[in-house]
Amino acid sequence: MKDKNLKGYYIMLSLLLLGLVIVSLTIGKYEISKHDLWRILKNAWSNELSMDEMPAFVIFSVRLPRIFMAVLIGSGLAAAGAGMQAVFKNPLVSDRMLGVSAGASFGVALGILIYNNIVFIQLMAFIWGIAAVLFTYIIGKSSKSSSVIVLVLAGLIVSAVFTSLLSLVQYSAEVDTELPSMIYWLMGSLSGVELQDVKIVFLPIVLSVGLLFMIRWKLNMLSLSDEEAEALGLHVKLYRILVIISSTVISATAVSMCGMIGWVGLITPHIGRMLVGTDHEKLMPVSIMIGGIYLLFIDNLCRLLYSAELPLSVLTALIGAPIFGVLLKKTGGNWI
Amino acid sequence: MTFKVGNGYFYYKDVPILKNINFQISKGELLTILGPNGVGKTTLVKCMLGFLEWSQGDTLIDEYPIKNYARNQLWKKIGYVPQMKSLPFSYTAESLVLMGRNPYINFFSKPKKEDYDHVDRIFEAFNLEHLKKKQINKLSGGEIQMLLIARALVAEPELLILDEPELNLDLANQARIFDVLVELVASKGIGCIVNTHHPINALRYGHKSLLLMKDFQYMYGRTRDILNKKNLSKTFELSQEWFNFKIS
Repeated sequence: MKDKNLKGYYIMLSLLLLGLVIVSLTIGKYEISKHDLWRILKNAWSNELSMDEMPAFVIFSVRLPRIFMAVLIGSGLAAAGAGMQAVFKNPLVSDRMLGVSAGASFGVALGILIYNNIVFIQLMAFIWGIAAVLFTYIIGKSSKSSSVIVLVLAGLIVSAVFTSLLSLVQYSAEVDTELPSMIYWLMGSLSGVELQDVKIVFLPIVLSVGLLFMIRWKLNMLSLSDEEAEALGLHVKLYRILVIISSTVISATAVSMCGMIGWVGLITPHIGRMLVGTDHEKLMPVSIMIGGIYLLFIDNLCRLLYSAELPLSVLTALIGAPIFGVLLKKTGGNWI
Repeated sequence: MTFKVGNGYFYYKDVPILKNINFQISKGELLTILGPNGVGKTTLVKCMLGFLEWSQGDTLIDEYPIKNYARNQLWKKIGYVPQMKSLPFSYTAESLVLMGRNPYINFFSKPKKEDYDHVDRIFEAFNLEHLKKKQINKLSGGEIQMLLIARALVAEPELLILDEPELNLDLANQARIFDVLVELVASKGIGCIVNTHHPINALRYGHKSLLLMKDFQYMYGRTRDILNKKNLSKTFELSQEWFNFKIS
């Protein structure tokens, strides 16, 4: 891949993201014309904005936080996916590999059961997501070999346990109120996201993505066999744990804010590879941008496709899987 | 530099694998390690590089135990060429070789122009410039092996350790690999340790040899002194007549 092309991709993806953000501000149940948008943005710039005006309220209090959240979570999941694929030396791995989303889902359900308060539920999701990965790590670690296969198996075990626990909690929940609320939460949605939520999520996601971005070139070595990487002078364990921690924080945050969102972490790095190749130095920035674009695009569809909002997790897979299938069929997977 | 294994013992869960291994290699020498399957050659390589910890004894570089060296220092001195296997991600040849510069690249950094220059030079020296932008899973075994050697060399090591570099290569490619190694040893004074299955390569190219045998026996010395029919037949458990062949 020539570097000239690379710059082209960066510019193209940035423009695409920016364009999509602007379009996303105007579309929706409450229509806002481009003219209105322009006027409101201009007013906002010169501090003459009045939130009493309906379009301004919709743009700044409803749509903008939601758009921010979609881009943050999408980029985060993409970065986590690319990082985990390198750590596990396997392009089929996603950010959920170590049980984080199983743990976080259990946390959501438990939170709803114990004390039905949004902040409490979010906190429970986050804590249990991290706890699940911690269990995985402890189980995987106790074996003498520190190979990633052991970690994968430990992840399977922990995921299985938490999935069962989730069912147990759902089974004991009240059928008319708690159960539907658990199910809807886990199906995922970005509706109702407020500026306050974005503020909470901003730091953990940006720090984690930032860390993954900083060590992006090192991911190349991390994707080789452990001894090979060690012999290239890489501190394998340290980099591995950094990637696992940042991915876990991202995924746990994602579940706590908008439920289980599959496919983003898995396929966005692949789309990135198709564009710029496997070198993580180029792949990471491209994946981050694609992730943001992808989730924002899907969230727009959730808002628009049907008279009621569709669940996010349904569309990420329903759109993502066929797109991936077509690409796979067309290219024969030769980008890997 | 001198690279030395002194009094090396390795036990795997109380089962001895290696006992009392001693050898030494200096600048400009090529040492081959030979032995049948399962005798502990790979374990020996892992122990001497510190991937496995000696149960007793040590690997010494310039008389200091290998553990005393910081990661970056150590892997600037030693280049390791692993056995060739397929990679999960198909990097370009350039990206692959660039990874060899890692000991020079800080924790949060990425390669700089200087690193790319080193890579350019090695591609030029190996006459492989046409492969630079190609994906490695599209290359032949011989080409990949050359790239792995190139990757070890961009760190400018004083010692190169290769684990079965002839694996799955035809004779011409084997000869190419060893020609490169011999040239490096002769002109740059690099030391070279090659784990190999082929006595012919050891005889043809090696200065020193280490024959690992069953029951923790081994022989170490000048290649021409120890690689004879008697020792080879003992090592590989073949009759001496088996080695009686001449190609007309």
